[in-house]
Amino acid sequence: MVLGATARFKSIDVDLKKEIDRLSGQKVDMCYLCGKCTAGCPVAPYQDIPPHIVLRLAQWGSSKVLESKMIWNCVACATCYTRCPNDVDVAKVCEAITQIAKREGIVADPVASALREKFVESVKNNGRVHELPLAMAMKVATKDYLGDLDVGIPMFFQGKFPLFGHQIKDLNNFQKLFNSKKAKKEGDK
Amino acid sequence: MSRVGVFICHCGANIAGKVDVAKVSDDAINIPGVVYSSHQKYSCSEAGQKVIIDAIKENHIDKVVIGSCSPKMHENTFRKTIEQAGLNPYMLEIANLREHVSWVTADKDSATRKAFDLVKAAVGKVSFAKPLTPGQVTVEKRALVIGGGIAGIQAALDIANMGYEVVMVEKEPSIGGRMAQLDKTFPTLDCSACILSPRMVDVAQHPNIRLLTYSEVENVNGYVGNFNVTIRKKAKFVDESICTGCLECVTKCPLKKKIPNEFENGKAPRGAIYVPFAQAVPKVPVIDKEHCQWLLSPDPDTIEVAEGEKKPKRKCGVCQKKCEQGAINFEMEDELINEKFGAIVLATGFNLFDQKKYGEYGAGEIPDVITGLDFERMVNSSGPTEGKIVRPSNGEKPKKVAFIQCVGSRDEAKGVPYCSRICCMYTAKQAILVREKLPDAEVYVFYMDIRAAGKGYEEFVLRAQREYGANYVRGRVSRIYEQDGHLVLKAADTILGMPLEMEADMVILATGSIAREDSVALANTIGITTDAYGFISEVHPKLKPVEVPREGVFACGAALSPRDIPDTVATAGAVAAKVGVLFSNDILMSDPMVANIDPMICVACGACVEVCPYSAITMEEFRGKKFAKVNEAMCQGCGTCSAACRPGAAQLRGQTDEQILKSIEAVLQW
Amino acid sequence: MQTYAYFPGCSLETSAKEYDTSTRAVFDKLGIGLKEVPDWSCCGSSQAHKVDRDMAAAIAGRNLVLASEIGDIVAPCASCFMSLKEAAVELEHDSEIRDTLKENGLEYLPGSVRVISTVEAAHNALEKGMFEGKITKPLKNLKVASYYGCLLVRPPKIAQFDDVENPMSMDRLMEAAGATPVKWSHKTECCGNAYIMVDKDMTLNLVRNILNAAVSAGADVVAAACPLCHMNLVMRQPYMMQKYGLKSEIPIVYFSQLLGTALNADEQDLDIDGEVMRLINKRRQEANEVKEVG
Repeated sequence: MVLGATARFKSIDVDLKKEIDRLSGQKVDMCYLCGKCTAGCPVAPYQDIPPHIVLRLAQWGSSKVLESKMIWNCVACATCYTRCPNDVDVAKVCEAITQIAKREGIVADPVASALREKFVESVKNNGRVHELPLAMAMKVATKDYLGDLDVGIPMFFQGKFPLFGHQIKDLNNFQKLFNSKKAKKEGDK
Repeated sequence: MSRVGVFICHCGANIAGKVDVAKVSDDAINIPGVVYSSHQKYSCSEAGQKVIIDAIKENHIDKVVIGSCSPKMHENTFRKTIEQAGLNPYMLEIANLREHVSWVTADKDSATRKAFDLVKAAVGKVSFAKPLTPGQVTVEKRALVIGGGIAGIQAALDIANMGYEVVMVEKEPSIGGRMAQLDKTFPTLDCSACILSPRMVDVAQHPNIRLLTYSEVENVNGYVGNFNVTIRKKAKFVDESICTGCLECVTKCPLKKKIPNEFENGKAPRGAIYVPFAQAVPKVPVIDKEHCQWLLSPDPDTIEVAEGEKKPKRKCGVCQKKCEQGAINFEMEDELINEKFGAIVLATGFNLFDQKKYGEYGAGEIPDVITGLDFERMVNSSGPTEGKIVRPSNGEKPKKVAFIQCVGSRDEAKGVPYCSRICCMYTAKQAILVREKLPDAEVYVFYMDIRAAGKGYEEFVLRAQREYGANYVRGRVSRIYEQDGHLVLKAADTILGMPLEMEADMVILATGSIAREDSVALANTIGITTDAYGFISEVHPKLKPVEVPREGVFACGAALSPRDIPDTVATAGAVAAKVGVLFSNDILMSDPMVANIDPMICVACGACVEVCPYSAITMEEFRGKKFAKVNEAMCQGCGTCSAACRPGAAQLRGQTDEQILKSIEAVLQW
Repeated sequence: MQTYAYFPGCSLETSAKEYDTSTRAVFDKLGIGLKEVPDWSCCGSSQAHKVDRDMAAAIAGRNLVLASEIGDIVAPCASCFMSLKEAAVELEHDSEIRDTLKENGLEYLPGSVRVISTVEAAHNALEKGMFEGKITKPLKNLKVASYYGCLLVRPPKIAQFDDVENPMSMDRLMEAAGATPVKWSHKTECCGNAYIMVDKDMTLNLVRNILNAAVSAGADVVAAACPLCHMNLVMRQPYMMQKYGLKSEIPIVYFSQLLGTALNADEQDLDIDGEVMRLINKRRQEANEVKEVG
């Protein structure tokens, strides 16, 4: 994303800001922008904007934040939250913004989005994660078909990447947990 | 039957904005006993008071209820008002319609209902009020100053110069406090010791000041004008009247390089017998009984040995042998001194935040990560490195020095949400000192915001940046770790909006100020309160900034909240003025709202004697009947005895059981 | 005998088999029972909560309910540990998620299950003196960099385990096993977790920093306590030497493999790489030689 001429803030968008607060369970106004999250974030050096700018955009309620790559690539390591002087769980804020962005059809990092989608799909289908199909799906998402074969093939032969994973017995009831009451309520909106 | 007048105050829109004052006033006239009711825009104004005085006279009112702000604000004002109308000033009850209602209730209807309830309760209570007369007490015109830092020194000198006697109690072996530990002071860069030590000497030589170092206040009784204070004078094991301050003992102590010197923030050693620093006042050493080998070894007299065997001797005793004056006295014991004072000044100062609580900055385990106070000692020519700025890990000059501000300030997660006020400035000063002493070293200051609100302060910070070339980077550092012989800072430049990783040779943490660890205990001893962080609470942050809730006790300096030297000295002067005002009275009026025990009802169970926090109650006997008696001068009117008394003999004047029950009844009935 | 409800997690069935077998072997040697949670399902790991936090709490919560019949739940994988523990906290406060579980025949009683990691469980055993006399094959002279990663200790409000900036429990376990723990800077730095599948370059940079820190500190091996960390640290070391400035290769083992070796557990269960075993023996030999000379 590019901040710049298009990012004009005339007034705060309260609705988006409130939605971020609601979904994340945080209050973005708690942040006083000291930058400690950015300073400690392992992934920030590789992103478009750093975490404290995500928070600043969230404080404006700017829809610009939905276009950020950073929100998708937060690895949820909790370094920021651990050291934040104001106890803001920045990972949860990023997570909430991706959920809103997804709803709006804005996915700045389709690969990161694919990871979580494919992961949950795998869990929903089997009750457990099947690593090989997941890794293969991610190969497709990244279009990096041949990379990592040097690692994958030996692991396959060590029996560490079985073709067919375990499926839990109580799969039917398990799958019902994916339609929680709250999730249903969200859908109604 | 009483004739009660009710006056409801709008307090502008403060009360009237939430409470329907007209309705409360109209309804109040129907309360039994009420003969008059009205409402005014500002009851405390001259016009408002006139309405009250006229109404009392015209309607033959004998008891008054005022629905207004907190009695803390204007009870005294209105007592004087009704006195002018010819009533006893205690025939008054305040219903707190502002702090207890309009400011804390969102809904207008319920606010109005609650306001009326409080008015009813006040009417019920005041109907049974009895006229009270204050007593008279004399004033002991001597002041006790607790704490011998710059705050205490200033207050003591000012009070003493007014001609009053002062006793200064300092718990360390020397006065001087934090300021004595500093090298230079901002924003003028004058040498701290050079401006402080003349005043320390003034204290020692002032004919009106008696200095008790190595001493602590143990107990405070009494009341304004008449405090009884117990002071523990800890045994120094050195006779101050003989010691010449030659310090031969100090240089000969075998432990002289073994014990961390508190004055050097633990970064240089002292012996078991020591003076904390060269300019100490008094320049008399003390023996630290936690470490002295002679004092720690067993007393031969208490050891039993078989016949013919030699008794073991005490260890060491070198200082005693070396002292030509014979000033060392190992038999010395703590001394308890009782003194009477008319006023008490708290000048107990502050502590610095413990860097151990910052695990992300190495929790004090990384040698080259030091605190601002460590740096003050390091850069001072009488400090552990004789003023040389070096890396503690290897003694080499640092080429790159980083400062981190707000360590233990503005960090709610670490329990210190407040700003410490001094760190921005002392960091700028230290950055200047590094650049002055090591012109080749790079200096970086990681800050969040620069708070330089003071005379010449902003200019000083700009000088650090522009003249001295300190590089300011906006962003809180996330972590410091050691790698390959240097430090790595995981930092950010929030203005550029990017993370950055920086190597440095030395990091100085600007640790914030916190309350002294014993501040709450001291507050309890004196019977006053502290805020959530342990700083002493003032009566009013704006209008009574050096007064504390116990009359006759005052506080100044960083014991109240973080502050710098100019503000500390200013509040110390303010305290001295307040003490002067108090001492300008020969006689004070005492509060008549104190406890009273009816000897006819008292069964002499002694419960009140047990619970009284001020030791104001004693058991008496008259013609064979035992009963409890209140010393009204000592009673603070807390009401604890009244609550503990089962037969109901102990009653607090102005808050009798009857009054309280009637006020409850009033709320429930009418 | 003390028995934990054991939650192996998906990776331990496949890519991290040796973590599973060595963990079981270690607890067996310590006399602590591990009873596998019946028909356990995926914890949700680092991804499910990103899609829907309530769903994540529900699917992790299912495991808590199943475990509650056995006892406190112990998880070898740091990610499982955190997902389960976070779910336990959410379930405590959120009755709607509890209702969702209840509708599916899973009744959760708040506070009924405590979630701990295998590191914590082993460290508790150490503090209770349960290692005494059992370290028959000490890992003399072996310099171990204990790598905790993120989720064993972070966020501290949830993890409630050890010092968040400088955890020491795994170091103490290694010391008990006769090894020499090394002081190093990156014990809790993030390895990038599943993002190896999203942004390889970024993740390899993070891994390189961790491995270089361990090499600089003079470690012989890095001990891991998470299958994902382990895979990231182990995977592309030769490539990182070529392209990412990795100083040298360094073996990565599970802490349970090292503990098991010192406890003389079955070699097949431990499944330690031959080269690492040779290194362990070499260090032992050096220690003995020094002793003889001394």
